[in-house]
Amino acid sequence: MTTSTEADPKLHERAARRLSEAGATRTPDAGRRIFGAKTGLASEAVQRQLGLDRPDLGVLYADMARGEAEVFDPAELLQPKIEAEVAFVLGADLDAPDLDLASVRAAATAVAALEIVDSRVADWDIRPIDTVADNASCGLYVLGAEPRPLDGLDLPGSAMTMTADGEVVSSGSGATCLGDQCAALLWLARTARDLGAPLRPGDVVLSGALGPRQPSRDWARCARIVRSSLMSTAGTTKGAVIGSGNMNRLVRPVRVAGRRQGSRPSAAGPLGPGRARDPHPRQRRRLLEFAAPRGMGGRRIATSSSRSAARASSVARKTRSPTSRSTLADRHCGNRANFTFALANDGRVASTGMTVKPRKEAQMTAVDSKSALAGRTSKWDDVDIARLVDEEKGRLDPRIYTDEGLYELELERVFGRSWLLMGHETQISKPGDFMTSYMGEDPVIVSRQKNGEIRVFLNQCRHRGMRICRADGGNAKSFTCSYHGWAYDSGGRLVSVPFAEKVFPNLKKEEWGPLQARVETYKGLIFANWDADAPDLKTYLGGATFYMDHMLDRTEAGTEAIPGVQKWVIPCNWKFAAEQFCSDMYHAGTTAHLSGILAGLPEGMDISELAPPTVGIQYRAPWGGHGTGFYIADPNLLLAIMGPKVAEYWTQGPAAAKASERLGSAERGEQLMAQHMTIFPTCSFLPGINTVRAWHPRGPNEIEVWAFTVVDSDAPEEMKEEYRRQTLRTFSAGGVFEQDDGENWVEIQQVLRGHKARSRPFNAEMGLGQTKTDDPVYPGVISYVYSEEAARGLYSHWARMMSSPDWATLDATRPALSESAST
Amino acid sequence: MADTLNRPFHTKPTLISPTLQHEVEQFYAWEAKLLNDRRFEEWFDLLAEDIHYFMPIRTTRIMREAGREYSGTRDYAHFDDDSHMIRGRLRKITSDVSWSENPASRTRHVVSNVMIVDGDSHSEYHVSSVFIVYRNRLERQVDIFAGERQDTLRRTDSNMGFELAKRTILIDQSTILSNNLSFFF
Repeated sequence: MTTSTEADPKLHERAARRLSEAGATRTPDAGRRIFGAKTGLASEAVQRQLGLDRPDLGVLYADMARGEAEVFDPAELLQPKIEAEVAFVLGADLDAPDLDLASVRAAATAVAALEIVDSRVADWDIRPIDTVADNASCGLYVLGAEPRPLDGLDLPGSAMTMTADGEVVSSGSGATCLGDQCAALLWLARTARDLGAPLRPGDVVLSGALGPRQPSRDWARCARIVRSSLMSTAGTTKGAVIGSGNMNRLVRPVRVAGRRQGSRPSAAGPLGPGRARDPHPRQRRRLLEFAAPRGMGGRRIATSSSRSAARASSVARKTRSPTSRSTLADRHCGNRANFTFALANDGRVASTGMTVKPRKEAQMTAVDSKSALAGRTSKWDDVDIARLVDEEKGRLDPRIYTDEGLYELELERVFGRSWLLMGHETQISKPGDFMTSYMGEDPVIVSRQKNGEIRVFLNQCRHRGMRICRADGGNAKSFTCSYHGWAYDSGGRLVSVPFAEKVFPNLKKEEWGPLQARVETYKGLIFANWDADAPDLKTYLGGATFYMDHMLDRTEAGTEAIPGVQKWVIPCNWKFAAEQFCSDMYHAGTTAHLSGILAGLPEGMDISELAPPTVGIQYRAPWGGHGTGFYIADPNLLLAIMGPKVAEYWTQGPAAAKASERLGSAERGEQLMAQHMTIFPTCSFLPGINTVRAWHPRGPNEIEVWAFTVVDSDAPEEMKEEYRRQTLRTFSAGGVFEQDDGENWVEIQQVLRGHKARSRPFNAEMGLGQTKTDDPVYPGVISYVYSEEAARGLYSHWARMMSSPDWATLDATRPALSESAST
Repeated sequence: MADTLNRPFHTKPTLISPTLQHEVEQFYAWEAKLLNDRRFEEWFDLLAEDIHYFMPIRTTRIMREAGREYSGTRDYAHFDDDSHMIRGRLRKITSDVSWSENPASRTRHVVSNVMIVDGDSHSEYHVSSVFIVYRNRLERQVDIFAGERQDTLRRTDSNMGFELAKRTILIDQSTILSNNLSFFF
């Protein structure tokens, strides 16, 4: 599509305009009533920049009008910017074949206007054709209330000043746009007439920005047409005066507007009251997608996507926050922006203004809850992501393990929003103890405070970004940045800035600490989450805690970590590791670990004498991606892995008895063997063997494994020592079992360099349709121990997180929690 | 921990006879050859019954806490093996189902800077050496390790001349930059 239309730009442009108009006419509801059209006309500088050579057309909607008394919420739009301009209100038809400057001037009066422009194209990365499909970046507008007849008006000589809270932020002259606003109006009148929809009385024409867009930005636009005739066919709202030619009524309501009904301002715009807050977000989205289909030159669309109709209204709000380029909200939150338009000939001032609602100020040190940037740099659409995992058939698209775009999205949508393992409480038991870790690829400091609290904060100085602490761990009362000496206390609060009084007199230290994560623990394990909207840890873990307790709750004394964390690099995607510990007893029961078992067998005994266990189950969390599995009653594998002393401690004697009592059954306390488990996304452990690890992603092709061992705090010393030596022997970089996992995952990743290797799905069918949810002992979705059900749960939850803009959307997909059995 | 590790080598060893130096260096050269030629059973025979094969974890610490650089003897480690455990590793590495070493890695141990401290009994020596172990496997995997080995060697009557009673490997990495440690240092 791109190639053919780029060969014929006119074809492309007509198509785009038809799409835009067609989209407009499909939405007859009040909010999306066609209000007019507008163009994207560039000033010369902008024309050069965009390669435009003439103006372009778009559509204005009724709900774009705002009243001066209203408060504009920047969150309603995608990437808003504000412009000041002159608007013309027409009092006569402009449909004659011989339109000229005189005839348009006679037909129009001038009012001051502010427009909030917006773009559906991500990053305002607009090509000429996009201005049509993008509806010329229409957003919202406010009209002033003092119309001036054009006769005798020296528009090009008029001076424009835009202020925000009294401070001048932009200025220009009427000469900026086309040299003469009336020339712009004339062009539009002729174009509209030629398109078969001439300007009519009551139409309002926004004639283009008079000065640099606030904030100073590249291009300005002119000339928009209010298509009042379309409005009248769609009906009127109460009190609206549409197309009646009564100009005073059109503009004066701005003065008397401002009656608010609750949170919904009414009688808002000059061209009609009842401007609703986008009541039909789905239709709006369809319109936006229709008006700016992806095929148009491949521009990415800045839409707010959602798969939850139930959450439509909140989804409509949760669009992407302004890009770094649009600082409207950044600069003017809570401000009153005023546009004063001083006419050259009589010195009288026409003005209008609008108030911009303060954005919920992101606390400088609080968690950033917005998943706002997701997908902006990714070529993956939510719909495409959902197709990567086919849960019903058991198919996995191999690109989930290799694609850079997906990985970048994972950093935001998975690692930016999930509870991630930081370590064990006993690793930082004394005040001042700290260790450094990672959340995704963000380095963090995990620090025990004097009051016992644990804080986790980004290991990044807010001044110029230097890593605050470069040690693996230790004990410290404070951390000092090595670059300029900014110092932070052990909780990550900025406490000292050299020469502050002299050189940073206005610096408020409490605003410049590093980002803090939420921190919660579960029976000794420390988790952290960047997302303020994520559920608490307990809710997040759900029914998986039942299975975590097999390792963490065997004694009232709880667990402690053996000191020391082993770290090593495996060049593979994190999901291979997470899936294997979640769902793959199959590899242990077949070929992968034969030699590991051999290494632990008594002298003279051979593998052939060992029958792999056959009794066991696998658990898949009904929601959340967690999974686990274990053998029941057959100790052979545990024996081969951990040796006779640990096998005995786990299955017989006082510790086992206590565990059985706490967990509610002898089976759960003494007979579950070789359990594997993953808490989504990257916390994995082996109850019984007691190795715990986090898989830290380092790009799609690499992880770091950070592993440690936990033991019952009240276990005899020689048992703790035995756990230490045996886990070290079996599950570590040199572990006789783990060595071979590294081999498999590495080679998989290598093969996936191939194009064909990525072209067909992997088989994840094992155990399809062989689940139950009514096991009398084990809650959740239960299947045979050799199954990929838990993997299907992990991957489908991954796809869910990757295609949901926020936790509100995610929470809407979670089944209602009921009694134990179904969670 | 570092102090304990370094104790026999706090001071420069007094010069010893060139013959002893030569004997120890030849022992190391032969040991390396056995490993690099994958003659693991013969290498195992060089180990004493009470062998302690130990590789502590090394961490990054600020200077004030440099004493915590190495993990302790009761902490987690990379290796902490006795004879029985190494025997198990032998069974693994010589089986054909050890996927991390079937196909096998190609290794090359370069051992140098051999310094010998006279043991009290004159039949037991504390030896420090440095190593570079180059490991290459499959098509393109390359891992290079450097470090120091602090050994206790005992004289034996065998024609090897010595047996290895203790080896402590002080690796020059904190995060191990390889997918596994499937070979011997």
